[in-house]
Amino acid sequence: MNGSWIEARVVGKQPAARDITRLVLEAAGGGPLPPFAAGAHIDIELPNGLIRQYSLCGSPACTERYELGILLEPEGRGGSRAVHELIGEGDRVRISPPRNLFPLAAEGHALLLAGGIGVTPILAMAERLHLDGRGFALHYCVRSADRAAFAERLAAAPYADAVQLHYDDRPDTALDMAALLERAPNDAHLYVCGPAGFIDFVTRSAAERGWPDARVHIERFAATPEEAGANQPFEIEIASSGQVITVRADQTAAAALAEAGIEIPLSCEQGVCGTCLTEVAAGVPDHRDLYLSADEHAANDCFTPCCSRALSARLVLHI
Amino acid sequence: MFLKNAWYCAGWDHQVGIGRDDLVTRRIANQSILLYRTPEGQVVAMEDRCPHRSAPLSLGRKEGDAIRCMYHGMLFGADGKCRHIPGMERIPDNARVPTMPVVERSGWIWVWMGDPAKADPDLICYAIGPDEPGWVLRTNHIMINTDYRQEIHNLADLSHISWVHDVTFAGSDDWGYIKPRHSMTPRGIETRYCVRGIPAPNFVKHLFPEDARFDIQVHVRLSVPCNFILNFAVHEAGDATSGPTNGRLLLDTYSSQAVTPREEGSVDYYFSWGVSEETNFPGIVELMHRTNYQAFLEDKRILEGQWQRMQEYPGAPEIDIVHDAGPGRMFWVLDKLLAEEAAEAEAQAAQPEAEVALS
Repeated sequence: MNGSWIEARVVGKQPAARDITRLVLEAAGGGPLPPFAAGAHIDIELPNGLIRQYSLCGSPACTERYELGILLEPEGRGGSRAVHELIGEGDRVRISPPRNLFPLAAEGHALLLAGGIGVTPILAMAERLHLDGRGFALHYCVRSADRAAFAERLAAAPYADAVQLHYDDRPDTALDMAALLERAPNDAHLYVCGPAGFIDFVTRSAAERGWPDARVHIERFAATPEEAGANQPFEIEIASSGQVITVRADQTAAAALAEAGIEIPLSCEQGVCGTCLTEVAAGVPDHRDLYLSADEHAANDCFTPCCSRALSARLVLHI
Repeated sequence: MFLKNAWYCAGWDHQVGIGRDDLVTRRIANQSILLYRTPEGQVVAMEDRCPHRSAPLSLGRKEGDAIRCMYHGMLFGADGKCRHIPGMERIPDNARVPTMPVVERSGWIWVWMGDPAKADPDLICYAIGPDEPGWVLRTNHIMINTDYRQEIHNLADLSHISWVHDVTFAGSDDWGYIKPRHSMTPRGIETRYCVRGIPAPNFVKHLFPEDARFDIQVHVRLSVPCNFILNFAVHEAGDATSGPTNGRLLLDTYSSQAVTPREEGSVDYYFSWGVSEETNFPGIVELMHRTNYQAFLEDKRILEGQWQRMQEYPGAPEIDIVHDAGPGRMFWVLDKLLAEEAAEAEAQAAQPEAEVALS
């Protein structure tokens, strides 16, 4: 996957907002880093052995350094915690060359939509669009002002007029998705990055208004529970035995089942591979996987207990 | 890591003859094994190593049901016990070669590599052998320089047919879009699905009109360490959109495949393919036999290339995709059994020394 690791040095680490750290990397041996296009990400090898992907949020015109913004996810699998707690200025880390799964289209007006930490690739896109003199608007949705990483940078940017922030706790700033999409120029492309729920909301809104898929670009994070605290507990009932198991907010369905002595085969634990796929007899799953198609999600007859949860109070499972 | 308590396929029964020179060697899960047949026809499996100075017993000589090491002439019975040491009257108790339980079934020789007390023949995988009434099968063997875990990846996910077997089994990219549901069995997985309305595979495309479409009914039983039993039935395309095909059966085929790890990074692969007598027609079994070998050379090419890259990039991260549910489930079973064996071995090692000495 990674042909050649690059030795890098941490030259800056500062808080960028509540629970968000800004990391600045330079080539350990000096000199430029590989150039990258807006939307690209790198792999970073963390001191605890984990390898994680983070978007590059600095200006694509600058190859002197890479800039990352990393949200602490206390319920994650230790990647973001390692960045926040184990990495310090002066440390050496290994990174991969940049890869881009979220490139800008060659032309067209750009509607950039960022949810939370999803702002990172969007920042690089805004820099690139501005440098190229292309039209764009950036909408940045956050739960509250103290979580708006890079807000100062955006306010001071030469393209500050094209940026609008939306705070969940301030209804007067709410994003009017319908109006935004309807006012967009005919050649506009939509670029969305953020938590799964945010992406789903935006892409659904676009689909309802007949936006072709070719003009909707998304970047998903790994399908892990993305918003600590946002999870609700729910119940699982085993159809054959009637046994009821509570899934706490801070654990996965598979973990709750394992605690109750019911082992589910697991592999990727990110909702990608489908190894844990389990039949649902009743109830409505909150699908968070990438394995099942939209139609299969809608059928609600199976789900991936490694990452998916429930929209109903109880799921009845055939295990 | 290899399972000890498992039956490993040591080849086709016809590969171990009764002739004077039929001393067959196998490398199975990091161990060197000698196979030979006694005058009664029973296959013996023993460590291919004389306990005296490690000479290969396979360089020895058959004497009745026994084998003589041709270094210093020690004679070992089929039970591994030394019967004769030229020039030495009394035979030391520890002059013995470890032997393994052996069962011949469905045309295969199975060797149990773990605790002989646990060698339950019911754990041998179901298979259709070359002598099965009602079937016409051909057998074959290939060696591949890859790890058996990569073979599991290959066999638990048949979407690779569309790409690896582009010029043989594939006729379209349809295999790349199947998403089968895999059920768990005590020692593996079982999978049934239908691939619908696909063109003829490339190796028989010339036999049918261009617009002919087929339904392929697939039934896979995969069990540890890596035994793959496949019922592959070709039907005329029916109009059912779910469940089994309702098209007319054209060709009912069975393929029994056993992948035996030699050591890390190398496997022996014993396989057969053939058709039911009811659906047999002239020339088809030979064509399948040849094509199957060609297709496995296609697998060999990609698997050996993959294994080479894995050596060049040790520990490099790999991503999962939608086709990894089968391998994921198979590894879950295999790794669970491996962990159980490791825990058992640890518990045994922790026993007081005196007890071990007594046993």
